[in-house]
Amino acid sequence: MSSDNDIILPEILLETGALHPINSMKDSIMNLLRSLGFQIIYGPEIETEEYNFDMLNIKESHPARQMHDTFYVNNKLNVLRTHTSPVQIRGMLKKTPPLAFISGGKVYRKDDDATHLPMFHQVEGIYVDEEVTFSQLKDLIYKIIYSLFGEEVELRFRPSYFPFTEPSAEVDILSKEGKWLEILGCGIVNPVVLDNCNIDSAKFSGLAFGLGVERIAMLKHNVIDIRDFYKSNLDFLNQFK
Amino acid sequence: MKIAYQHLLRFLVDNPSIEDLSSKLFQLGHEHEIDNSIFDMEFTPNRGDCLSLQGLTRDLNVFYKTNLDIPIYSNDLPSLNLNFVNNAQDKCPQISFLNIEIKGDISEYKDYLEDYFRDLKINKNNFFTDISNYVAYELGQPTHSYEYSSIGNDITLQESNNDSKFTTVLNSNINLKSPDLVFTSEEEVINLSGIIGGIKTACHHDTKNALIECAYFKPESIIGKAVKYNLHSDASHKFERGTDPKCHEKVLRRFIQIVSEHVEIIKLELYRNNSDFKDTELDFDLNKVNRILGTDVTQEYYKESLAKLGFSGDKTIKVPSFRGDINHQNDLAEELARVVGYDNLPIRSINLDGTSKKNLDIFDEQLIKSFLIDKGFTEVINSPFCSVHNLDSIIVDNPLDSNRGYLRTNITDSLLENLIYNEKRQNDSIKLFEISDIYTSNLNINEKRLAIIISGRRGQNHIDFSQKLDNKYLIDLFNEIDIDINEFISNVDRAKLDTKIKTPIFTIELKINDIYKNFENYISLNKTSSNFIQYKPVSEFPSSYRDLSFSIKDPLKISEVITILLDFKSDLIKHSFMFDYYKNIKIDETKIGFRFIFQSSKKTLTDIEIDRVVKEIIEPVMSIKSVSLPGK
Repeated sequence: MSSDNDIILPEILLETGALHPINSMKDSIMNLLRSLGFQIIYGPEIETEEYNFDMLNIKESHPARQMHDTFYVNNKLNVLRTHTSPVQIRGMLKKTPPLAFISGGKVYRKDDDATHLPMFHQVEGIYVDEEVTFSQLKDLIYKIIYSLFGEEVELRFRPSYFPFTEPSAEVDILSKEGKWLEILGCGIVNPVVLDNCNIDSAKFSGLAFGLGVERIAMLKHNVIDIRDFYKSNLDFLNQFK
Repeated sequence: MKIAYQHLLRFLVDNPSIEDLSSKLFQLGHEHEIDNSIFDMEFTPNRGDCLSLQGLTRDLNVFYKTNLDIPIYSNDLPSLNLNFVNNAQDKCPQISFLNIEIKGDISEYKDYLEDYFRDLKINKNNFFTDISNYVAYELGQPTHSYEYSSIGNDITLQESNNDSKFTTVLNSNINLKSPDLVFTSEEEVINLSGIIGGIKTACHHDTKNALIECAYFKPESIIGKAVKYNLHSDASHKFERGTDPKCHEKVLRRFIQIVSEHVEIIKLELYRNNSDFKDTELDFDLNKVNRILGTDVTQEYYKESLAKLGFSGDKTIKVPSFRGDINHQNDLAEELARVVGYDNLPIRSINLDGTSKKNLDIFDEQLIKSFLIDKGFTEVINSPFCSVHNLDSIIVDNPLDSNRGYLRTNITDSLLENLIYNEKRQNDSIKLFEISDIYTSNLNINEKRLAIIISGRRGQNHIDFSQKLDNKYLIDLFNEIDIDINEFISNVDRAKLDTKIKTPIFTIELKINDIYKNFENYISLNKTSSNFIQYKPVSEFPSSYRDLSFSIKDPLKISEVITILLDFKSDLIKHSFMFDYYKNIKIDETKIGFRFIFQSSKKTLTDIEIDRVVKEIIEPVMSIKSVSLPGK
């Protein structure tokens, strides 16, 4: 029986856990893109050279295809995908335009140092329709960057080169310290890639973009060493509740 | 590639400042850093044509008045009688050889030549090689200088059909593998794919009679050679990115001009082996280009822009021979965009409403994650590479090292490593999960799995603190969402783990396909996490804890005590929580226990330092009436 001056037992504090900061960042980017009208598609991490390279106009002679950049498995029959772009290829082979896909996930490159890991995460998107222009790509990129870093952020587009887009651009943002930091790559889908996927490049055009999730997470959370994300240290991970 | 500002200025009539030049280079897509007026350029791989003073000047002609009239030797050149056989015409369709013989001493290098070596801190070699290097810097075309007397009159370019040895000019021995592209003379290899020559035929300080080779190699026939033999040279870099197939005459005449400015020439003969080069021609289709960019550029502006970049023609556009990267209208659109400036291109609103939204029927694992996070689990992501070879492991053909030669066939092993790592860092309540695709040679497709590991205390509140994470905990957890996991739980044998801690470890690994439907109606308690967490670096120093117990007679003071203790903050306290709450009805007294975990980011804390903080914690609590420290 409880008396009047009895106090209620203290609330039991249930600690919640935490989503991994990289998955959390990946999900928030994917959710943003989904709200803009992109549809999520998935693909395997073990890929063929055909989907990972050939279909994307990355020729056999391209340096990325050398053994020192790409992991080969199954007696060189397959590769660990070096980017999420082959997922877009699979999507385009399955569907006809207009289409707008995004995919995100693990990718692999043969690197290992304070700024590069053999496994990291990408989010990529593609939009194919009649009359898709670079000016629409700019609109989309502004939306993505503003949503990630706020509308005060200063950004610039810089001509770049990727075998699967033409024209290609890299986008930098200006850091608080006044340094330009590369954030994402994008461009107009190279008509060769559309033709490879049985999409008539005379009728359709596309835009595509891709970004590295770790890089964005490092900038947003001020993480200096990329390896911190993968030590599975609870003192680190539980800060991202 | 390093390019000196002052060298570039020789060709830029307008004399732009470094800052202005730098911003224009960015607009053109040429990333760089500047160190003491030296531009360290990082050109995209499609722009091999920019790898020289001339090449960069051609691009900068968009913004500045330029002058590329370099003095060249203009007299006729008699034919060289050379027995050259080109058995690789498809890989090397254009090649010339210049025989140049000099007499007398070489005078001091002219300023432009001397500046090149000094400003870019490049070592001089011998007269002919030095000029060869300079010409490559100025015009972008590599040439190779042979001591003519060291080779016979026969030279063959061919794919080597058997493995052979070759000693390079840098005195390194390499075993050539068929089918490398090689120059041979008298059946000996004298040069590998134009990227490096042999030691026996190299020019030296006394060379008076040189043979200068100037070739165009298709990039695909060169790519990989430098990496294969670890022979990264300026020539391999340029050939891999493509040189100008039509520049040889100008390059060799420039070579002669420079020689003539330093010494008397007594013989000049030229051999040419050139297939027809067909210029690329593209339709003049401004409408298409405007549609790619979303611009309304006028015909006049487009024509003018292309002309500044060396393109000519009216109805069709003739692509200059040095722009092997231009093949279709999208490439021309990029040229126009660079002239306009990407930042100046218009922005038009994007609308994806017309695209198909039909889902591809793939389940999103978000709800499983939300459930586990609500229950206090932390998500980890592990690398798939491991050293354990199972029968169904996928083997990595070219692993980073022998510890990462296979792809993992389960997630649980990774979680065990994570658990031990965290136990070593004094974590006594560990609940981790990972969701990942698993690839094995038995599975035709990947299999997505969820794995969980638990060990230690159930939690840090006063109910869970004294209870251990166990079999029952996991069963109850999954019962909440109607999944019976009894038969999937394994109890890890601590004896095999070589750990001091003895709390039992339980794991499960499930196929997502078997369980996801049970989560479909789960409603997450989890607030969406903030996107602006500024992470604090994790301390590498050990932590220590102190447990403080207080007896409280007056029940009205209990919440005050708890609030003071919860609100106590110090740089040296990593974490604190109430692990005990006990009401002794017989003596009408409440006992509460608090744990404070101390850790510094700078050092290992001493007992004295910790006790000083403990005193600060206790004092305000003890000033409350009816509160005492048991045992004191």
